[in-house]
Amino acid sequence: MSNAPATAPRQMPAPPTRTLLWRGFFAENPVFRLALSLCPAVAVTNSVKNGLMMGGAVLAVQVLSSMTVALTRAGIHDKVRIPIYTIIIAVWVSVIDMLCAAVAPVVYAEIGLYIKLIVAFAIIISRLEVFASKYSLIPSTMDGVGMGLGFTFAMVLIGALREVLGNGSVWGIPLVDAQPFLLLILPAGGFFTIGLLMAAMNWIDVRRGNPLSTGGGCH
Amino acid sequence: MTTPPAVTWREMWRITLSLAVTCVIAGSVLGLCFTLTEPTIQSHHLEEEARMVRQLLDLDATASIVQVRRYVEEGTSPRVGYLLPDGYHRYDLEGRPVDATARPETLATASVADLDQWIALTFPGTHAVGRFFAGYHADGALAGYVTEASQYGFKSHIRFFVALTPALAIRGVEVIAHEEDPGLGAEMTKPFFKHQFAGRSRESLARLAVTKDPLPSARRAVVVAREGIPYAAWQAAYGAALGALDRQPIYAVTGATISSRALTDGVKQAVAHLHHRLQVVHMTAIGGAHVPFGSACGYFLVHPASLGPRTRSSPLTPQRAKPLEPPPQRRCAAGPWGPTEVSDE
Repeated sequence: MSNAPATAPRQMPAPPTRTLLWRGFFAENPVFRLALSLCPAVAVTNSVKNGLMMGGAVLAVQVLSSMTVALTRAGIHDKVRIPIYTIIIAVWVSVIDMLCAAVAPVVYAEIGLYIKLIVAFAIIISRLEVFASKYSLIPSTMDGVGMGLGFTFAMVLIGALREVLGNGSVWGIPLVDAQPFLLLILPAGGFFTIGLLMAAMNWIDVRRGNPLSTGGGCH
Repeated sequence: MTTPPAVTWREMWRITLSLAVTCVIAGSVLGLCFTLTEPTIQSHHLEEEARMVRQLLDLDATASIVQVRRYVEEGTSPRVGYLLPDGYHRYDLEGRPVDATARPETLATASVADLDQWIALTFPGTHAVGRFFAGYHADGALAGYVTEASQYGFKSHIRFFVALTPALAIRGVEVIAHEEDPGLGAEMTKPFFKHQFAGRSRESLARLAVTKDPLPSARRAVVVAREGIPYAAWQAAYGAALGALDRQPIYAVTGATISSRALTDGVKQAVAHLHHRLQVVHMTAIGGAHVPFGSACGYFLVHPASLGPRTRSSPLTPQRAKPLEPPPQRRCAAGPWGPTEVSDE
């Protein structure tokens, strides 16, 4: 029915599974290194719980979308691959949203808000374009798991810092009774936190002798 | 000289087909998933709502909740309609009853969406605009009302439930949905703010003001104690402290005066509106008698089902727009609130 992807004949061997699973945390962390999906990251990470829920939802959609693209990549026409990736993501987001609302209404009450946001996440479509469209099912799934976990890690880290300093609590449990540094749980505080964490990651990287990476951001 | 290869018709056809097939598959998957999950999602939604209403009125699972839906009919002669347990009642804009249509037998156990559809089909140009709930104990005695309302806050609409006693004193306020700032406006959902409304009479609300002063610790202790205990227990424990409640203002959340004022205004309006609406629907008593609001045999003071044969003798008929008969005189113990039995001498 359609052309095979242009990249198929000169496909490189997939990196080992260990690399795929780990690089999402530091080497290619979606938030701190690739600077993708920063807008939603700022919007929802004012607490650990929100960060974890968002991360979990992204993990699920990322893995399912990567698997779908890896399985159907032979049938996706190269010229319309981006619209098709968007449709695949939107379908998975909607299906998860509806199933979760029907099967687990208690969980849905907590995460329903975040699931719908995922359609607009650049990280997912970028992994489909960069990885899942070029590799087979197993590596693509692993890449999705790794990137999803890396994103979750970033969300929880940002959420923890903002919640402890901005609200004086962790997972909603108050730690101190004093009036905390409120700015951090407001949107501006999200930018400060992400900026400072990015700087910290770069500093560690430079200390370890790696050249400073440069790159653009995208929501 | 080489020209870039032109896109052939064949290529275009393939692209179109590829996208079209993807969309058809995506649409089918979504449609199938929606069809399978929608009934469950709706029933979860209703259960959750009923649970919230029961909790606000301290009712257990044996209690029954009646939802009263309000409609507006646009047109040359606008009407306000209420879907009551026995049927659909229409009123003019001054609240005078116009006519009533009995609920068809086939819709006895219909869903809210089906009832909305029935009304929209019977009276074109009508749409639902709001609702409130009346909760009844297992013995049929009225436990109270819960009304739903919304008010524009700092960023967006704040949607909330106000629970009231049969005498329309506030039992509690619960914010259902809002988009206020965390740490600022969102603090209004915490016990120290939302329970400041509890215990206030309807009459005192007109004079209720919002102050930027800090919440005094004595008042705070009383307010916070409302969380998680039945209204009656709270009143019994703090009855003395509540005596001077009418002179207590609402202490705004620090740094969120706009959100605090919005919720306060919203609650005041919601109670005033419910009072008016109850007066309107009480005019249409069971059996067609016009019963003064607040009397013991008013519409919502005893459970409609417990009235038995009186419902049968209602002038309601399935035909459309049948005018109400002139109200027969019926003895009613006007006066005290509550489910006191009518004395038929």
